[in-house]
Amino acid sequence: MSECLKVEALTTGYGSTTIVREVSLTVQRGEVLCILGLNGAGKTTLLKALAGLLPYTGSVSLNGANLSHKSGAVINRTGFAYVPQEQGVFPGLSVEEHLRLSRHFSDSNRLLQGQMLELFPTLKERFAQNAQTLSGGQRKMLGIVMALSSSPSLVVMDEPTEGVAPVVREQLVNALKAIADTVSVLIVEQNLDTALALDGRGLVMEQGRIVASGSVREMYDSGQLEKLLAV
Amino acid sequence: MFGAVLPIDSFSVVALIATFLLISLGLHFSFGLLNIINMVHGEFILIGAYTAYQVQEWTGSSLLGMVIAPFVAAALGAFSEFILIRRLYLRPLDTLLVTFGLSLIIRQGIQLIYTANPKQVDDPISRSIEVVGINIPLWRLVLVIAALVLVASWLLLNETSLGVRWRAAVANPELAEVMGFSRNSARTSLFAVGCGVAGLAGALLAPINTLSPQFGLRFLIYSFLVVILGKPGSLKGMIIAACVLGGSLGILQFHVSTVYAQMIVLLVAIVATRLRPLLQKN
Repeated sequence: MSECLKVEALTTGYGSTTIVREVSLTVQRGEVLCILGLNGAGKTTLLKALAGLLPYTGSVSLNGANLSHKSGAVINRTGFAYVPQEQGVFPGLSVEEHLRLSRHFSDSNRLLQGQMLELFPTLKERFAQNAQTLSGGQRKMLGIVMALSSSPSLVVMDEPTEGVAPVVREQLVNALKAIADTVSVLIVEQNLDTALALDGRGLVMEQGRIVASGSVREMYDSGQLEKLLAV
Repeated sequence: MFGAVLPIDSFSVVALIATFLLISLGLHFSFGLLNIINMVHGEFILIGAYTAYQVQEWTGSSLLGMVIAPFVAAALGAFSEFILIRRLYLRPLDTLLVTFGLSLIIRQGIQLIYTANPKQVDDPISRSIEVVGINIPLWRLVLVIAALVLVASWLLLNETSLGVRWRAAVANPELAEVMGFSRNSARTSLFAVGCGVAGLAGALLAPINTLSPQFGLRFLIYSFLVVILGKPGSLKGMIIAACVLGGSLGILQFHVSTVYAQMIVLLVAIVATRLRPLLQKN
């Protein structure tokens, strides 16, 4: 496997408050990398910096292209799709308008979007609905379909299964597994069951630093996750 | 038949509603959608009017000036958004100060160039027609058509890819950015379009008003009233508010002096703003 995302010594935060310190990581092509950690560990802040929403020091590259200090729009066009934890839809826009919006830059991706919609048939029944009125799980589904519609090489998701019903979580996990066959996935997750179900590599963050890494299953079996995540 | 019931110049009520729509549509973009407390809106109306005047001075054609005016206002709007307003989207109160300062600079600048003496832009079609006994000055008919075309254009644009992108960038700028379209470009475009529409309004209204550096100020209050009464961001609300305020002012002017009519309209606006939550609830 070759490198898809490479992050070196990334430090970031809000204003003068540093949240993430000297984080380095790589995501290989076709790999699922799961970042685990307790609340306040800096996981979301790290993803926001990678997506171009926060300034940082250090370097980031995607498929060899330097993304350091580029705007979110430029980073997205390089093949980086980001699904935020909250506020992942546009208030006032219908589901259909969200999908039109997400394929604006790539008309050729209608087929891919159709395939993605097959993963979440419930969205097809709600095309005319204001996306803001969807349930939390449906909004997450819409966010994933939107992200994938631009044919990214890397999908970055912030807690996609947070606050959703178990049946929807299972649907989302199955969809994520299907996605991972074609694109690299970097996912932040607090739910250990989801991380185990994805069966990929894991990193554990604590106070803005990476404190453990390896196969999620192996870290779980060895009791390392139990110790670090207090589960 | 209608002439027996309606005053002979009752079309002026319709023209006044169109005027309210024209002066408010630009503010719908900057204040209603972008949340900028845009005190310089009146000066973009002023820029449009003086552009029409200047082109008329150079070429003898006020109509050519009216064509050029929205582009001049849009270009200056884009420039001021890029230089000043872009940094203030998260600080709406600061936009009030900055745009107020900018409005003073533009107004004084125009006074320096053109003096405070009144100017006149020629009416390109200074004729009237009579329909069912009602006198219709053709230029006021142009105002009505322009207002309808502009509102319809914006409604249609809302449904295009560009319109959806603009609405998305306004609704959730951060998400728009990470989805690959620049929130800065969308905001600059929207602000420029708003200024362009204000410039067009100024140019179209210039022939039926006396032009002076205070020209934009007289429209500023009414445009804010219309947008606030209609609920900022709501085009439908803005249209209804323009009909209510423009219509009531137009009708009242037949019966009482302009000063009283304006006072009553302001009172209507205050009461309607107070009642709006109740009406929406029901």
